Amino acid sequence: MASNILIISHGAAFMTNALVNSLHKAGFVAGVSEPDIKVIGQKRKETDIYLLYAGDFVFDSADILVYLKDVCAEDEKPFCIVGYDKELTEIKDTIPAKFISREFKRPFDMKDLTAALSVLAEADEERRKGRHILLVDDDPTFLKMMQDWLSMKYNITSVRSGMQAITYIATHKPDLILLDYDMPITPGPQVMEMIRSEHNATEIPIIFLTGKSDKESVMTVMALKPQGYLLKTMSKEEIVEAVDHFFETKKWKSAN
Amino acid sequence: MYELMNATKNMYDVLIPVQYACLVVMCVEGWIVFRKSTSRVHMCLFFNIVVNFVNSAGYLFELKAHSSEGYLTALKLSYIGRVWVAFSLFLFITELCRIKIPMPVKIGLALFHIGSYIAVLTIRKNDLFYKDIDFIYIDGYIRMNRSSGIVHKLQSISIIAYILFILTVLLITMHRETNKRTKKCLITVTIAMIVEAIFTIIQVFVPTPITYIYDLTMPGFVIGTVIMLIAIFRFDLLGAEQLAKDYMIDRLSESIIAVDNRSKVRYFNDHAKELYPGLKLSSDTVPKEITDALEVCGTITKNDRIYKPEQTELMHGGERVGTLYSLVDETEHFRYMEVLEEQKMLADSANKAKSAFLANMSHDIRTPINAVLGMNEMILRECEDGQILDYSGKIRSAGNTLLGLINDILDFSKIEAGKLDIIPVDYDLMSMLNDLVNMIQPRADAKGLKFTTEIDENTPSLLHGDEIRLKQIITNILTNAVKYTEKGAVTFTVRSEKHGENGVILNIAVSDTGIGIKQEDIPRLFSEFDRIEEERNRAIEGTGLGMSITRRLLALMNSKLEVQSEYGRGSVFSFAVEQGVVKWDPVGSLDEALRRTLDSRRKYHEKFTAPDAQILVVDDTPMNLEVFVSLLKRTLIRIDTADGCDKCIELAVKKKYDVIFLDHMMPGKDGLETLKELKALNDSPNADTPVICLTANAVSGSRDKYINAGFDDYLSKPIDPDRIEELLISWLPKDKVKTAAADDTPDGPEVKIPEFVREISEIDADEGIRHCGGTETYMLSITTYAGTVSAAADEAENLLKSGDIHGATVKIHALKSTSRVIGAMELGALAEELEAAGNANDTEKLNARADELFTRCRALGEQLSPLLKNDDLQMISDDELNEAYTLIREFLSVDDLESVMQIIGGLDGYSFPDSEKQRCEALKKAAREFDYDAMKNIMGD
Repeated sequence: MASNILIISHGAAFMTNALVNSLHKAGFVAGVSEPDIKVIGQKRKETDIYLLYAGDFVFDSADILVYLKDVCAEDEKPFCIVGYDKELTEIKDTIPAKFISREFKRPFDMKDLTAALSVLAEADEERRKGRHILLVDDDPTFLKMMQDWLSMKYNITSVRSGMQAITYIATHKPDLILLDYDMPITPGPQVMEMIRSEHNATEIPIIFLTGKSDKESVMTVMALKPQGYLLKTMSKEEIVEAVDHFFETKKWKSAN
Repeated sequence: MYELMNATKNMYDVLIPVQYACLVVMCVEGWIVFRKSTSRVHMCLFFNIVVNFVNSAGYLFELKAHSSEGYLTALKLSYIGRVWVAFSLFLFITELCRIKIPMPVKIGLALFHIGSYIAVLTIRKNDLFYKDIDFIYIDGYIRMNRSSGIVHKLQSISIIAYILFILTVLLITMHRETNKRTKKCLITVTIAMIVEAIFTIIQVFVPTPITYIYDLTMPGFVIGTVIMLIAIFRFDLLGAEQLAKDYMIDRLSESIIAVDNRSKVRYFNDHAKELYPGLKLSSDTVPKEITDALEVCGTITKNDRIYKPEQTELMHGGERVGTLYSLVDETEHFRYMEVLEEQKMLADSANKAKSAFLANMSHDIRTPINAVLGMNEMILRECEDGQILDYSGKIRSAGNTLLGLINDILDFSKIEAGKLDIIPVDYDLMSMLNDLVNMIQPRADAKGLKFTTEIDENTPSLLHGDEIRLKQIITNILTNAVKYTEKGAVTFTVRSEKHGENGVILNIAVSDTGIGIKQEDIPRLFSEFDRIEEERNRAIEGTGLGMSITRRLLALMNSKLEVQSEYGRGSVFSFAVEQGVVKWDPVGSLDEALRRTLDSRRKYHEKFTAPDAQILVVDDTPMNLEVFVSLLKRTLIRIDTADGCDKCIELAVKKKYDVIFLDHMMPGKDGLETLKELKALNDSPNADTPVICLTANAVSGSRDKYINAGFDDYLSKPIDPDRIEELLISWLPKDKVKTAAADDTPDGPEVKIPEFVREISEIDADEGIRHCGGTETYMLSITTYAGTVSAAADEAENLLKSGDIHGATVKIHALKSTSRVIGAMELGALAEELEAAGNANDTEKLNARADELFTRCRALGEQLSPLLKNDDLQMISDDELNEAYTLIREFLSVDDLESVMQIIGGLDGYSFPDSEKQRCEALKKAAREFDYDAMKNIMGD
């Protein structure tokens, strides 16, 4: 069940880029439209979810708002809005709350939004939700590379140190942590321990990243019982495949 | 008278015994001459003696006669001889002095003497010989008085004439003769003649009582003949003819032994006597040595000389009378043969040395060429400078020619040394013909020649034979045809006919309209190094070995090259060769096959990478290692190198390799030894690793040699890049070999397409990426487009305005291609329409819609302008920047680090107002370092 999301916005190039990207990773087909009845009308047929990214324009676009409301009511499509408090209030003045499926207040976390939309799309949880991976490595080059490779399909957050990782985990719950084994200050194993000791993060799967492929080192790495290990010398295809494979075969529970 | 009669009686008592004595002497003389006579001279003398004997014998009877009848009878008897005496002397002397007397003269004289004798016989009947005959009886002895008749007088004159003639001849000959011996002989003979002459003169002209009774010429002639005998036999008077014969027999180096039917020795010459001193006539048989040698066809060695025995049957009158054995001195002959033998061995060893030299040189020559061509290949791959690429292309072409020449020379020496074998394999005929066509077509085109092929479509497609050599032969013939043809056409024909159960005969012919060959020059075609009309053809390059190698290769395949040529008009070179058939499916048309093989080749040579593969290459020459590594650069295979056996072993025990390449010829321990050591290692991680041999020595039979030695495969140098990739694909573990996907770039992560590009409606970025085969290329393309499309559109517009439809169409064609490349499909379609209109000269349509094309192109260029260099980056608007900042802060506040990165990434396509430049740079830098804290700080202020 493909989900087409129409993002209605004006003058928010950066945001819409980010939105499109994120939705794409979550398996959506995202389109962008100006708040123009005609344009919206053209895309009406294929749209499954409407997402209004509020800007200044909402204050003078009553007609658009009404139109949108009508469309959503008629087509029975979810209608979400994103914006600041003021903007949201303005919208809700014109459109009754019952027509609004979800609202997201800024600042918002992209992943939350994506997740909520996925739920709306009634998509298969496992499949539709954009996977979130936390990359932990002290080498920015390697981080960038991994990010490039994996960001097409997954949401990637990259941090450079074990401490940052711990901090991040306090507020977020990634689906997978790729953890560099050899790091200065707080080496991989230590970070892993710390993560495990966080009671709400015990179940996040951890895969080590290591540069040594000889038997001994691998044994040492595996002795800590991570969910797997990857060699840093592996190619793009191999790494992506390994991660795909992991998500396909492992059962895991998400926080949301 | 009484005293006279008494005296007579007494004299008779003396004379008769004297006469007996003369007879006896003459008998002895006769016997001697008879025994020793070997020539005509002797014969004449013998004749003289015989007639004298008869004469004397008759005279004896005359003396002892008692009746007139008895006396006359005796007289007639004596004259049988007497008429011939002077004549025989005449013959003798002329023979001796080698004076030729014409036959008619001799016959005439003989007749005269016969006539005289007839006159003698009819003595009483006429007066021709004697007249006034009167008999006197004295004491029992009878005497006849007579006076001469005409014939008698003539006879007497003839005698005198003879004597004078003889003496003259003798004197002249003596004067002329230089040989001392002969001179002495002649002197002696002259003395004898003078003696006879004296006696004759006395008898005729001086009347004494004795002469009255006794004819003094009798004893005179006897004495004369005795002296002559002495002359001849003392001075060994032999003619040159005789001497030659004797010389031949006695002095020649052949030893001759003649035996009769009972094998008794009948004759042997001096040489035989020398060799076999014990040889005696009639007693021995031929020496056993000789008969033994004859049986085994051997030789006899005596006194340091080598003799070859020969045996001949002596036939006479149809019957075998004996056998002749001769020993021919063959010493010189044998010595000569020995010398020849030595010379031959020297020549052979020189030839072997030359072949060994070439075989070694094979390796030494190919190594640097390998390096040159390999490095040149790298230049061609990595350089972008057009001029240098041009030079490099020329180097490649010359290098390949050089390689071809050297291969020719090496092949030739291999064939000469008999080391080149025909190795039959299964092969695809069409594929081979394809290669040939592809190789010749460009050369023919370059010379403006028409090249056509006529391939019999029913020819079986999969054959069994030596493809490489067959290809070599046909290549040689085709290149010659092209080389020697200046205008016209070259036609390549292939026909086939079934031959037996599993075979086919290929009839291959190449005809051309070239310079042709004179009939008399055709045999010279095949002589090595000899190039016909050397002067005329001097400009045509080559070693001249091609034809010779071709001919020998064909001979090895039981075939022969046929040549038909007309000088100045053209030639046809053809041959027929038998090949086994693996599949009878007909080849079909060549064009189809061409397409088919091209496709399979394309698939086959798709780029492959194997970044996880690890291989080891061992070679003592650093240059070769470099070439090897360079050629495999694009495959990303990790390569370890070793300069020799020891280093190789050192590395092999530590690391497991997927494939090991070993150079065969190395100093110290060579490839074979290294392989042995490798295999002998216990617990080596490379126990099962495939080992491939690198060799410059691709002589026949070496593949088997290497396989038998334990190698898994071999690769000949100079290394063919395609071949080594083939080998790696087969020997590397399958899971490590990846064929490249269309949009993969081997170096670094994917190039990101800026978001704004994706937003441009005119462009379908994915389509564009597909067209470019990768994102990196795509980025380059749209950047170029952005920089050039305006100018291109302007140019096209101007050309159109000035009425140059053709020029404008060309420019529009370019716009079509470039637009398509970057994914501007609609634009491309529009351009295509206009191009078609331009080609059809439809100015109306052109003018109607060209503006739209140009405008849209320019607009697209504008939209893409942010891609251009930093100086040309679009200035970010304040609103946009603010939005960005806001978002960054927001996302930072919720720790949506990913989105933060994304927003910052979006800033790439812009340039910033001076007041914000620093902050933005700082943000970008922090993003590069994933330094979120820094970002917070930057945004915080």
